[in-house]
Amino acid sequence: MSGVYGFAAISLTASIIAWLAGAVGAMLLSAHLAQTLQPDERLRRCLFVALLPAVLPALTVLALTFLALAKPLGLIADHCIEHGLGHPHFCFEHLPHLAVSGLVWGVVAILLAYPAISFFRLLVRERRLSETIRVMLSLARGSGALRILDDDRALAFTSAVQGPAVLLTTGTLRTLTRSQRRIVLAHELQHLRSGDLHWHRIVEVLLILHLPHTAKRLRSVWLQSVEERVDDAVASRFGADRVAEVLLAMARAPKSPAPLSVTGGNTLLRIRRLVERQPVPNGGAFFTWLYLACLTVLPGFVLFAHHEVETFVGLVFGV
Amino acid sequence: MGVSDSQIPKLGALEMAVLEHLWSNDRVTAKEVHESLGAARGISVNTVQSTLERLYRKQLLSREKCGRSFRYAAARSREQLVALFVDGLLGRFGADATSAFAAFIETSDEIDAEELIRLESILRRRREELGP
Repeated sequence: MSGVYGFAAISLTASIIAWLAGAVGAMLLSAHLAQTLQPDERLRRCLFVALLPAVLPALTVLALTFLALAKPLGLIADHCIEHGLGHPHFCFEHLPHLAVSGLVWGVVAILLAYPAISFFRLLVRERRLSETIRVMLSLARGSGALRILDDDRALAFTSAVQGPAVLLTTGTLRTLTRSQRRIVLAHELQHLRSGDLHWHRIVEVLLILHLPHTAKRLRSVWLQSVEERVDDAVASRFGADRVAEVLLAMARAPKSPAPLSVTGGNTLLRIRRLVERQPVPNGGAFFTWLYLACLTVLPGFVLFAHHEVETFVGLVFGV
Repeated sequence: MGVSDSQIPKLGALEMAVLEHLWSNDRVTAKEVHESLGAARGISVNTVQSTLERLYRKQLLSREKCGRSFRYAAARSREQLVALFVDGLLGRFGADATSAFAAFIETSDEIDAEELIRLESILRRRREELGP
């Protein structure tokens, strides 16, 4: 039993170290999400980077578990017996009971409190948002998937609360021609088709584990790339110039006096992309290799240099 | 700037129904609202009275004493309430992503006007080259 307890303590410590390492790795990788890449490639990279602080602890614990089970399974020679038990061994049989001090548990609790509080705040925010959208849906005219909001600003929203719905303001109806409104509707419906709203949710949960600056950067890249991907899909139907014209019309429409910002991405970048249609590079393999390195160094070190890690653990825990 | 969370009233289904009624009918008592809405929903006059009281505290209704009861009227029009909620949604998500919500366009006033003009002129030239 003491072996299991010791293993759990080491796994928790290793997970936290791996989480922090993943957060730092994500910070470095997020610099390789250039605007010049295709939106699909940027989204793929963004998702991989967002996953890093979650996946790395899991892989590290997997490596530790493998080590712990390796001897009983006969995959590793029982070297504990060969050179004695001078330091902890990552196996359930020989791992001694680790007396972890209250201070260490306190530090662990503080570190784990950060993502826990962030997750709770995210849940509260999502709930509040859903309530607000529910009220807006009941204030809007229409009862089907298309709702009209009596507001002078030229805005269009997609919602997945109470089923999929697209909300257009009366400002939008006044600003755009009939064919332009079709493009706006096609854009919003594409968001629903792609499941973008659910992906937003998943990415937001993953970003909880990141450093604040990295989370902000990844969020910005993600949202911009999602909008550009949808722009491309709509442009393939209606033509890039026509989509750009709609964006321009909306950008020119009268707005509220206070500057507001929603998640439509950087409008200017979107219009410029559609109008200028610059050739886009493939992306190269450097990011892939860098990502694999971030993903495998720590678990690989645990797996192949476990003797050194065991000695380190012995020094840290005084065993 | 955008409206903060605390300025966006939380509204339940009954509160919404009462507001809808008051937008169509001015200066009503709790009894009159109950006659229109309460009977069909199987709720009591007291429930309607509590709802009116809550909406009054949320500053969505005004009231005046009329004998032993109050007469209520909407303090904000439907359009004003819509604007408040839209402000709240837009103001809330300055830097945060949304999950149940995606907007078509960024409404920030920071868009470079000169760049817009340049891009518009490119599009206009292309349209002219393509002809009618």
